[in-house]
Amino acid sequence: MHDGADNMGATGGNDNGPLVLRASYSRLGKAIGSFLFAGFWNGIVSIFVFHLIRGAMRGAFEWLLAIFLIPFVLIGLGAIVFFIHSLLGIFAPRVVITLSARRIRLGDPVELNWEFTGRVQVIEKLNICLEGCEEASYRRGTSTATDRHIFARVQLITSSDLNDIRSGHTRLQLPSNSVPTFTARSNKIVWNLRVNGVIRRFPDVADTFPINVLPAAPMEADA
Amino acid sequence: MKARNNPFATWRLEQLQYRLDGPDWNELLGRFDRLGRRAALVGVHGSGKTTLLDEFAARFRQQGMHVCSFRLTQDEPDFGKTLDGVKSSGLGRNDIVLLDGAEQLNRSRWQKFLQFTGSAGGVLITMHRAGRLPTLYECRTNPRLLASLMEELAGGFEWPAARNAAELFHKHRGNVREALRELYDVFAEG
Amino acid sequence: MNEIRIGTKDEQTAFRPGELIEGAIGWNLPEELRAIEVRLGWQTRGKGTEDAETVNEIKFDDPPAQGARPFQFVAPDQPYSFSGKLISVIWFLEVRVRPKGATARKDIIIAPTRQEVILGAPAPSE
Repeated sequence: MHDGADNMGATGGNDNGPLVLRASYSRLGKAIGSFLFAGFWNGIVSIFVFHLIRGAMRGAFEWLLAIFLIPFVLIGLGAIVFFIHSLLGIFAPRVVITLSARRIRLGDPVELNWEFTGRVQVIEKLNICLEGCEEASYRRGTSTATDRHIFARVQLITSSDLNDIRSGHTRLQLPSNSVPTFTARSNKIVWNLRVNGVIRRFPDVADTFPINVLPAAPMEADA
Repeated sequence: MKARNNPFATWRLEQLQYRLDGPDWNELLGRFDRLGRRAALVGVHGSGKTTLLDEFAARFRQQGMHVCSFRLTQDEPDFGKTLDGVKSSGLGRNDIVLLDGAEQLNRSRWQKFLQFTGSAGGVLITMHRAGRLPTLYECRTNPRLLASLMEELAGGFEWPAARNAAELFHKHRGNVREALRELYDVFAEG
Repeated sequence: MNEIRIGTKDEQTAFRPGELIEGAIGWNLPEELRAIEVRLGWQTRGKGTEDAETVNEIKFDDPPAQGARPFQFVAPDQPYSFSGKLISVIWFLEVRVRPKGATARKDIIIAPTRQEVILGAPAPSE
């Protein structure tokens, strides 16, 4: 980890100029991926289901096959639901976060601006918060498990007012008595900006922006 | 409780010595010789196979053997580049190959591994089930063992809540490592 | 009597980032020594697999069997010494003797307030 490392999904100009954060994953990619999986899975399962139905229509219902297929069919249905959810998510509003400084230090105030594009009017409630999280990985048999614990949550904005939701700004100040971003092989301290927009009868906006938090500015030497 | 003070922190679990049940070390090492120095440690998840394998490594080093250790996991189920360095220098009678997680290798990779280690002075693997090599030792767990480990790790601590070793043992189906990890969380909350 | 000691100036064991860590090591060993290393490093403790890093090192080649040497490091600006529920980061000074590998160690704190940061603790009042 190096001082002044870029923040993920970030674009910006000079070293201490504004930092623009966009969600790093592709909603379209997620929908395409889920479509391919649902198509592949249900395509194969449907062959057996079709065989089962044809047998039933001939009066020879195969009970064992039917019981065997249950979990596969359930997974297939789940895949379809996930695909529909992902597809609807494409049309959800998108947010762009701009921080007033690229180098974010503990204790220093930073201006945060947000702006939604798309069908903003469907968002009923917006919540933006900053979370600090411990992540510890360890061996679990032949695999690796990671435990997480949120040790800090700073509420930045909660609003149901459409004008506030559409765009706005607030001041973000990381707690001075906390720790900067820390990255080691099995142990990490990560700081995330979480944006949650509640949308009725539609997938919520749920975006996470990791930010690289630097140590506090050096203190004055003791007298 | 601070992470560094937690009696069930990972570094403390990794310092636990394996408790042999039955044979002592001399008997085990003698058995390994009688099995042609090709054998397996067998046991379920969390029964201490890796811990025991590490202790074998220390004893082989004390005997003046050169130990080549490999650990395969679900995340890294193959040797990758680690084998290349060993391949280029070749294995001899003074080399002992330890392979943790041998079940990660499919049949053809296992055959290649056997071919590769043919000239080594010994091979000791860990497996969840017996089969690929003769069983040198079966790692078993029981509630008494768990209770003993709990006492060793946290006997001097004030326990945040009453803990029944037998209950914990059965909850984790004999996986002592997972039972001890749950106790980390108990102390972390307390 | 075999002995390796490590001490810091004025017995100081807590430092701010950027501050000078000054001290001295002393040893009294029967065997011939190839080198003595003084290291500044950190390690993690907690639920995760341990991570560790040596951040700085001073090496004294061909030292006598008995002796003392001063050392000096600048406290890095990160990571801070901290403890959370899952992870602690502990800074330390360590002396290592070659070839035998005997060691001595002293834990220190590096943090802006010279106190270990406790994650999740309430912010101090202004």
